[in-house]
Amino acid sequence: MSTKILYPDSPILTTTCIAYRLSGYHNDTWPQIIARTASLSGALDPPYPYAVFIESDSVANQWYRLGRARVSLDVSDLINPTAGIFRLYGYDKLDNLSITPNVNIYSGATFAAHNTLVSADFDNFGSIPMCDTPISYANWNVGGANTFLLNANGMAAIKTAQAGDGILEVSIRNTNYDIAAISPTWSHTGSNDHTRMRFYGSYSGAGLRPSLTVTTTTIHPPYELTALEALRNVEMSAGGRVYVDEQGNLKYESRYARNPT
Amino acid sequence: MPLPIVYEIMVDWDMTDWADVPDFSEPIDDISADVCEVNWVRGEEREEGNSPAATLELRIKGSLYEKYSVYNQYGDLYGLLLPYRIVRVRAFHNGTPYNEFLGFISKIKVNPDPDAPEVYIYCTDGLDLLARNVVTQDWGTRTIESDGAAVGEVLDAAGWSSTRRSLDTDGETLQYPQTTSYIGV
Repeated sequence: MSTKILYPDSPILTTTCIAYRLSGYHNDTWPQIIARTASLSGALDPPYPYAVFIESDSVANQWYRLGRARVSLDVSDLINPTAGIFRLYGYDKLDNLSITPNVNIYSGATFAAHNTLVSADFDNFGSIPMCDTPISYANWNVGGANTFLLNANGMAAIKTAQAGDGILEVSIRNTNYDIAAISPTWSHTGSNDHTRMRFYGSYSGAGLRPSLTVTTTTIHPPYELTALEALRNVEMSAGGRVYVDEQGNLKYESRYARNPT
Repeated sequence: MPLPIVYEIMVDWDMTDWADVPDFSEPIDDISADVCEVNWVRGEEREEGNSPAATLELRIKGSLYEKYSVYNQYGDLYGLLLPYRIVRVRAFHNGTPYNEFLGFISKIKVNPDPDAPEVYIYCTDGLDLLARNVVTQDWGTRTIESDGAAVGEVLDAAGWSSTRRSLDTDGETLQYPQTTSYIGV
């Protein structure tokens, strides 16, 4: 058994990336904003991506911006992954809206590419939870690691990626409002009134960038040998003897049978 | 005067599967009268410590080279002279049969020289057949079982008849790799 830590490519986005999109439309109701098929802004390979970003509009019960983030990782080299922990290192958090959001990781994204960012990506984030326990706003660790233990969906996502192009897409989304499709309680006290949870992204060094630690179990691939070789192996390991008798019956005598006490 | 020992040599010429129970009921199966010399070797190799496949050599009367020629389309055995036909040798003494060998044809050698024709049938027992039978083992998937059970698993994978085996299962249990029929890797 061994572990391997994977990081997304940065700052050179060869095959993977860290990114986020913000919807950015005024006067959306909550059902409208979570169902947007495009977004107006975003950043590829940013230093501090938004794990959660919710901004209210000045009109009651309307919303201006909703953020979703993504991290892609090359999992093609993993051999027999059996467990995984995804980590985001918290940069800051702010809850001007007093809505205490939580955050989780999701699979099932269908982005245009693994190392680019386009407007339509906003509608293609995953929604299958890769971890059973979202991290609450209170528990969002600023300056430290926020860990997501991969569940069966998460491990299946790794294997699905391995069976495909080898790139795992991890979507980072708010759970209790965005995924749940439940509107937060609206409030607005001024411009730029929002709630956010950010993590370290690009240029943050290997110790702070998002990572996936995967436990792998060393396996011995099946191999071919003759039946007689297999029998001889048993003979040698157990001290017995294999032979075919005069009637064509194959006999195996254990070492106890051969050397009775 | 001691009673003579008479050898019976049978070949199941029309068998279809080496794992089948042989049927020596066809008239052509009894080749005892064709054989003029029988030699076999079996037993444990002292140096190796194991038992190699037993071998049987049948020298057929040279005058019968046409019967044993695979090219003689008018012979009784035409189309049946194939490897892995089951061969049985029994010795009869005072009417009692004693099993001496049961194995498979591995090679038929026919020298049709009219001045000195020769025919030999070379046979080996089931260990040789198992040496040509490929199985698949997964060393990452192991079962704690007795050595006899592990042998049985190999035999199952190789298609060896369950009625033609006798396995001690009182050995120590070890973690043996899973053996399955050849699946390709």
